[in-house]
Amino acid sequence: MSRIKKTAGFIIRSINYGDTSRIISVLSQDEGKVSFMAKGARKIESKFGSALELLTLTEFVYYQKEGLKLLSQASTLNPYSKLKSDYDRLEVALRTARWLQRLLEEDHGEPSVFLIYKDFLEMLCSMLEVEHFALYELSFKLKVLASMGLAPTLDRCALCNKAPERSWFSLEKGGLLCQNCRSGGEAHERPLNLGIAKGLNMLLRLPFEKLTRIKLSQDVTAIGTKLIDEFTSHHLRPLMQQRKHLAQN
Amino acid sequence: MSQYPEPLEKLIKELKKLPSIGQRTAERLAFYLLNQPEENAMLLSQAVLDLKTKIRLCRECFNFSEEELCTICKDGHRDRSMICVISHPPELWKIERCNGYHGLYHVLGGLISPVNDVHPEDLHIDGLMRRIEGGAVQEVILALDPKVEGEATSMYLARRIKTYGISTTRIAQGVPIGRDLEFADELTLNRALQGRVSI
Repeated sequence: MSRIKKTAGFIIRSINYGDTSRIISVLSQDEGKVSFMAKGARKIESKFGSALELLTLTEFVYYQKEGLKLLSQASTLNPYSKLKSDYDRLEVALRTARWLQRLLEEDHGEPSVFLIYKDFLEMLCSMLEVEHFALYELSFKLKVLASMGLAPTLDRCALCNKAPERSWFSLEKGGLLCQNCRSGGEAHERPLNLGIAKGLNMLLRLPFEKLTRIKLSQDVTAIGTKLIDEFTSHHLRPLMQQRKHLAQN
Repeated sequence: MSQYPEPLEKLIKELKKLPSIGQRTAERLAFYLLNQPEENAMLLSQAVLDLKTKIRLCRECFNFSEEELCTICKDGHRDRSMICVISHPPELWKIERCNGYHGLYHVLGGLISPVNDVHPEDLHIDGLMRRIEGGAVQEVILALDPKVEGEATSMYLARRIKTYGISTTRIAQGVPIGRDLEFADELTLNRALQGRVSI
């Protein structure tokens, strides 16, 4: 017997299914990442209207039938119109939605990721300077990784816990390595300036609203973004292979 | 062990690759074709083959065409001061059937969608800019899907076209004809109010 359920969340992906339907991926408030089948959603006279637009905060009423979550009702809680009326804001928001879509596992996820994304989108709506967007995006990614237990160690050596004088970032070990602990010549090690590591640590620890008060060099954003994307991909690959393996069996 | 003779099985397998065709529909179509005269089967296979060998993209607008320029770009009676930008060719034929537009078109080949890793450089945007640089265009009409990706593409194009100092417009958005206002969602109704016209 199917049971009617209700949840709210951000639409982070929407793909067409058949001639008139859509499958939408939602970063939900209480169930992590979930996907719904929205029948007839592409029709002009669809009952879902604009509630299934990407990056909209929507309340969903659904029921489960033969493994599929079928959407019965959807109503907009916040359309985030400001975000959608500026190309630079929208591009960052859509890019982070793709990042979340790849990172999060279906029907599993930390409820805190929803709150971090909500804070991030609200911050993005209120920010004026385009040049700060990348910094907030990096801080968002670090905060999400931390909430999933993947926070990189950025203030001490990840192996011996000592404050390093020179440091390398290990994708494998998930943080800084000192001269003594690094294996040397490792494909997963990247030299990392301690100043940049300190900047990244601030982006990880400080709440979004306090980031406006700190001044960081552009290197923190440029080098940090490259490093964190590499770090995410490094940990994502085995996770995706695991998901593929589970889906096949 | 396969259920049907190999050629039939092969056709069912190929038909199943088409959108909205499942096993049962594929079987039904395959049996229908099997019962048709050989001539009909030949005509169908030739039509499918022609689609791949004779159709290409128009050099100017990226619409489907049999020649280097499509029938619309070649038509001397079209208004060359207007370009209507659409994402895919089927939308072009939909607008043509309205019989309310007589300018030229430009097919982007998709919409900017960072969610699906589609970026401006993946679309026919440079081709559009080259046409605008040509100097004859006075207005660019953006007729893109009223969804987030369509909005992103419209904003990006408007920003780039602005540098040429020509008019950029967007098709109106609002309540579809024949639908009750009561069932329109807030965002659509808001757009309809913003785009109201005097009567």
